[in-house]
Amino acid sequence: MEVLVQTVTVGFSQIFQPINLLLLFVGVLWGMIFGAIPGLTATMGVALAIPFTFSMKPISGLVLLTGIYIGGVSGGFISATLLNMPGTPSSITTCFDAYPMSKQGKSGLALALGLFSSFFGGMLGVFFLVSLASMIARAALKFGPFEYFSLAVMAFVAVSSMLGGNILKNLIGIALGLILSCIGADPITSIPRLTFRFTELQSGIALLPLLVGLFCIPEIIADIESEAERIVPEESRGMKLFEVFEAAKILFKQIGNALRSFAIGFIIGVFPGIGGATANIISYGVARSSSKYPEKFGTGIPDGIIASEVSNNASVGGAMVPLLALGIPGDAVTAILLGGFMIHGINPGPLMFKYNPDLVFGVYAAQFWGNVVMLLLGVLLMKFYIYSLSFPKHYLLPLITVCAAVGAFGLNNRIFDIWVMLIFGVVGYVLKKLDFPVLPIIIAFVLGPIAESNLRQGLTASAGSFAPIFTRPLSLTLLILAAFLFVLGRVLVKKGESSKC
Amino acid sequence: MGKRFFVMLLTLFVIVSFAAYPTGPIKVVVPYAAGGASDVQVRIIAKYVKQLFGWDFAVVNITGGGGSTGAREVLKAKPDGYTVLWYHQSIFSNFHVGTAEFNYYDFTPVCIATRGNRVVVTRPDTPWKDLKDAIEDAKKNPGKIRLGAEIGATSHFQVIPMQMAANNGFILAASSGGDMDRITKILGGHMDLSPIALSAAVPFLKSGELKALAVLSPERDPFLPDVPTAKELGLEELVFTQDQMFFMPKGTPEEIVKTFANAIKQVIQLKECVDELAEKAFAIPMYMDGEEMLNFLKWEDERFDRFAKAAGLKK
Repeated sequence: MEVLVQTVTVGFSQIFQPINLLLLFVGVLWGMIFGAIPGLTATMGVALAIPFTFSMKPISGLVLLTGIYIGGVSGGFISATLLNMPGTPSSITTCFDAYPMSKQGKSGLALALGLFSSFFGGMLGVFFLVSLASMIARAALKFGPFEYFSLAVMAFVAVSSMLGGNILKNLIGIALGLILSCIGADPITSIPRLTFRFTELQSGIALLPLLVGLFCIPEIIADIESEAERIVPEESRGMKLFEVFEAAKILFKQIGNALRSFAIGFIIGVFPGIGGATANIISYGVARSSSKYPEKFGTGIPDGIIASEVSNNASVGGAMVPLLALGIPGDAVTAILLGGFMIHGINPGPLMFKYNPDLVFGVYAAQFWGNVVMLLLGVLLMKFYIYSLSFPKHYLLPLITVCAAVGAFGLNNRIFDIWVMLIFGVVGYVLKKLDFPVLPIIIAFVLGPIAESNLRQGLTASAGSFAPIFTRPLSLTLLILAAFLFVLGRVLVKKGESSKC
Repeated sequence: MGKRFFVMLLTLFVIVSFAAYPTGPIKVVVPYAAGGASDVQVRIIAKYVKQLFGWDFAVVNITGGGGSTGAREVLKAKPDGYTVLWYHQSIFSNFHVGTAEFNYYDFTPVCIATRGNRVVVTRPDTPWKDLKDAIEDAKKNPGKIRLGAEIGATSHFQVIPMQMAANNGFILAASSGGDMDRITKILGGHMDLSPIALSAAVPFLKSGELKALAVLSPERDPFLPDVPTAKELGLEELVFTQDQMFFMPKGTPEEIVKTFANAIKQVIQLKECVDELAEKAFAIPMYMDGEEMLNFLKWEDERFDRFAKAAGLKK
């Protein structure tokens, strides 16, 4: 509570200095633009802004970076809704319902739902971050390799058992994802695997180029094939203020879904290395499995948008917890943020509250107001976003492709990653033509390595004994939960619903 | 006459073009993530290089493969002095465990700039006063104490002599993801002790959440004057520093290498730069170039080779 009070008194007064307020606006706007363009992510938005913060006061730099982070994670829903391309990895499942809804002529409402859900997830996330950060961080320390292994197993079982559609195709997809994730240095010994003597493959395949390749490139090709001159029709209405209120009303009617998605997103955010994309997929899966009408998911219902967008913004607050309390980044963006902190001579972690308390409160306040700014800018600028995406496709598609390539290149500065993106673009296109789901590939690609490296780390620490997986209470609980979710998923699939997710 | 004139012109051109180095931004590849100890140090140096000489360092993070991915990008770059690698002892560990197919002699070594020390840490509730106690304990109770390391990385090489001194009494617990990952595991009780970069460990040592068992430097560390060195505790072999050095691609003209090295030499003598390195990265300036640097690299390389063989890591 004391922290909460000081955030309001100390932190807010820092944010309300004109320069910081301006930077917050610039940051959120910058982030939203990066988030909305497929291939450019929050991570890259933050990375590119870091040099600009060198000459700033620490608090101003942190405000700018925090703003970009919030804007970046939120902006992803815009291209997901209008173009069916996830703007960032954390909005994969937003595509599933927001795009069909937009196709039904309800673009405004779909965008408003994305915007308000982001705001809700982000705000609640700040509240939990501020009031519980150090407590949660301590609790998370109890999670050892075996717990991480069981957590990954649970996530994996939960999502894959809920995948509808053709079981054989799903299994093939999962196998493909696992194989792809094995390429590169072995996570424990760094010995190269499946590289076929290509040194380029030694650091493995990166998530972003793979994701852009599998999700965006086939969509771009499909857009080229289609007869329409514009992807987003010009007459597609902008979002109106009343639609935000309507979205808010829908969200509060579905408060159970929203809170559950928040909890999933926040908790997954806290665990380093798992991140927004996983949060997004799991919370969509869980929302569907606990729905009374799971068959409607994927057809353009609000439930899916809410689950997806609340959870990814909740994971922002979650990922800040270990960063601020322990100095451990929770995901790719917070890893870059950590860099931004260090450059200003601030070592996040146990001493930050002692030596730089006003900075901590400043960051908290920036998170709070960043979400408000995000909502405001969203309402004000949605017309502009729609306008810029409604250009004739012979202008728009090359631009998107270039941005995607820049994004693939930008995270690790390697030309090789652009090749990865293009190759998987072709693969994704073929899979799409074969009506083959790509989500299982991504799930296996993300979760496989987490399970593997943690299991192996655990086994070295237990001198080869598997017993701790079942004897450590937390680990066992997670496994029981996994079994429960597996059964639930199977029952659902038997009930017969759509093939999405 | 024509021929001589041409040769003169060429010589002049060569001199002018060297004198003019650098004419554009120099790409400095950091093979680790932004915000890590390596990254923070080179960004500080970049700032003062700009101040003193007006040179632009474009710091580029290329991560993966324990640093080998970024190193490889420099390995195949044009040897014109505009692509530089900022690397440390990982060059030896990566080569000797087989993560990388190249060693220091596949580059043009430019200079060593800074030194960061490493410290073995544990939780405050463990019974050991120093590293010697921990090793004795492991000898008496084999298979109980978990000694953390990132397999194949420099931290692995640092635990090999400890493990040998303890007659293999430690359980070697693997981590992935570097120093912060191991600190987290020690705090959470999933590992008992591990060597960590000073820059990562100091905040936790100051707050009392970790305690230091030994510093792995030849002399006591200025930031932790009360902590004994491993050598003082009778572990002669256990000297492992993290020395940050610049490499250029093989075949870079000597003039360029000298110009670059001289600039770095002057920059790391600036008081502001020294202070900032100490404050933000717990690093001390340590300059070496030319013959001296080569001898040092050779000595380190032989040690890593020996440890890799002793621990059966050699591929």
